[in-house]
Amino acid sequence: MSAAESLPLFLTGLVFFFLGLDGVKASLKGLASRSMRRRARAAVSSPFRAAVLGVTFGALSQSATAVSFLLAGLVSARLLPLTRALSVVAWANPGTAMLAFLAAVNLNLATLWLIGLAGLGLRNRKLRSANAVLGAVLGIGFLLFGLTQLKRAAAPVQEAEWFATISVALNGSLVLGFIAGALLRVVIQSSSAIVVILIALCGKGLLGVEQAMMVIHGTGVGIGLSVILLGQGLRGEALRISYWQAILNACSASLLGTWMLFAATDLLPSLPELLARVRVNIETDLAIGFLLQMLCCPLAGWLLRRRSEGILGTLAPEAAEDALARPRYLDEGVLEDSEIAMDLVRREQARVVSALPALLDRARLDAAAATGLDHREVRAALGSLGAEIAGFLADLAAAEKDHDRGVQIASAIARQQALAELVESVDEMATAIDRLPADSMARMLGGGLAEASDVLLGTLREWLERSDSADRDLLEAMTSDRGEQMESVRRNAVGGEFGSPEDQATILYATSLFERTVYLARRVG
Amino acid sequence: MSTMQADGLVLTASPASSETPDAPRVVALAGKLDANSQIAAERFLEDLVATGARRVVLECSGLEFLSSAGVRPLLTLVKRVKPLGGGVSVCAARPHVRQLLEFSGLKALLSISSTVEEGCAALAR
Repeated sequence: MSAAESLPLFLTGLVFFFLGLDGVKASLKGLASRSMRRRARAAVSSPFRAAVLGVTFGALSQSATAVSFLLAGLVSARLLPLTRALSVVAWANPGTAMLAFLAAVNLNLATLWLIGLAGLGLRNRKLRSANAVLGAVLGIGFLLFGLTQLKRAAAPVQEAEWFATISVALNGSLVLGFIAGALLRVVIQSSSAIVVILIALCGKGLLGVEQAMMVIHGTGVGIGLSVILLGQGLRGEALRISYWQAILNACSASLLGTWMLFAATDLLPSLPELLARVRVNIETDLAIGFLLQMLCCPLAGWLLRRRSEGILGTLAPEAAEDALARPRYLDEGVLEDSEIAMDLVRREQARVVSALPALLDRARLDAAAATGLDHREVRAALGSLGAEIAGFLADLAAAEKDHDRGVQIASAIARQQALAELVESVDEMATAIDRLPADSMARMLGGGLAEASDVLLGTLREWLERSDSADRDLLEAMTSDRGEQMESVRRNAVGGEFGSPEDQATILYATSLFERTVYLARRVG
Repeated sequence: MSTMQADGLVLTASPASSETPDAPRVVALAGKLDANSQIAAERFLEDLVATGARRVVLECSGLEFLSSAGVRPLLTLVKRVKPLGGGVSVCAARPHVRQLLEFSGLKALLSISSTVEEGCAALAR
């Protein structure tokens, strides 16, 4: 394959990888019901279970990179808690080493089956209820397909004459071998492929076992670099997973690499020397060396377990949008006491309302009041938080036997539904206003609607937070019917006061959404 | 006469009358009442209520810009004086200031008039 053929293959690989990553994240969020979360958490309820799941993920995907991003998706969707996901990631590494040598599964074929079946399933109307699962499977398929294309694009590197020449040139230097291993892993995207090449080179006598082992150790740093490079778009907890994978692989690679360097001074025996005492063949030696390196990842994870939170928190601080998506007050434990639970639901709903002004940022007139948050991320976070609250209320309703309490819960469910509609209405209104030309009369009017919505939402938040009757009275007065007022605005707009017909249509739409926002704010209150 | 100047906003309050303590206090607003000047405005109006003001006329002819953040101090003022039997009136507001107050539903909570005299009269009713 020529370089001209490799480049589009490489780009295609990257595109499929990122499409898969986005697809997995989006679909897993759709799957993140409370019951699914309970099942997922049960699967990692003990360190042993987390280890088994990690080894399984690693063995099935045959890629430490793929596992990192799958786990990042699971954590983003809040299907798995971060602490357990870190264990799963650590144990996925030895999993990748196991099957890389058994080569029992044709991953390319399995990937095509995944894409084909999941894609056809998504087209089938009868399987609509399973769309989230199928979407996640399709995402995994794309992700693996992307990685496969990246490996294929790197195939000429492995076949080229200069590759063997460089490998032979390494024969004198362990450090260069380590660096070469790191770089090769970034380019080739497959540690097992590198091991296979090394076995061939060792078999031809072009490379010593020590140097080959050092190249293998270098791939650990390469895995870390790959994960960091491909994870550039991640944030918060998802990014922490990437960094964790990078840290564990870098630690295990450095540990074994340092051992090899010390062994070169004859202070202690090297790993190949130890293996030579029970040697079966070079192939097995290198396989064991790779497996040992991968086993050092969970060991490093165990040693760093107490510091992981601090280290990862510094490297990847939690984004405000991620913190928003996570319930602050709701907890399974409070389901037993519906009175406390209802109070906590109200507080959580107040959090939703307090985040709504971020959706208005792009439409408001007062730039100094902007929150600086990404409205798309905030909208997604509010969707997740809203689903959490709704799920919690459903559990609460199912467990409640008292009639009066049941009525209260039903009222909270109705409020939650109105709140979800309010989020949608505010977001749509801001989007519409944002379309209007800057500094136009129509934009000023739209900005006024956004600012007024902000005032209403502020009062609604205060009422939900403090339950002060003065706030409720204010809210009631402020959310009176706006039909006449908006009708007058619409008459002016149609009269040609507001620029182009498109702008007039946008103003009409924005006023309808404003009316709806006022109505929903009243319903939530 | 007390004056406050901060972050592009100037607030000037008429002195309290010892003879007619219930007489409305007129506060002239000039400049921008937005997220930058919100806190200073809130403090100024709170101090005004603390000195006994119950009826407040906000003279807004010099107010060039009002945002949602700027409406908050006005709402707080309404919340403070209403339970004490007082009220707030906004007068001589520019069209976009008036529009924001109306869109926000504040028309139901404070009177909006054209002149200070009308504002005082509305509070006296």
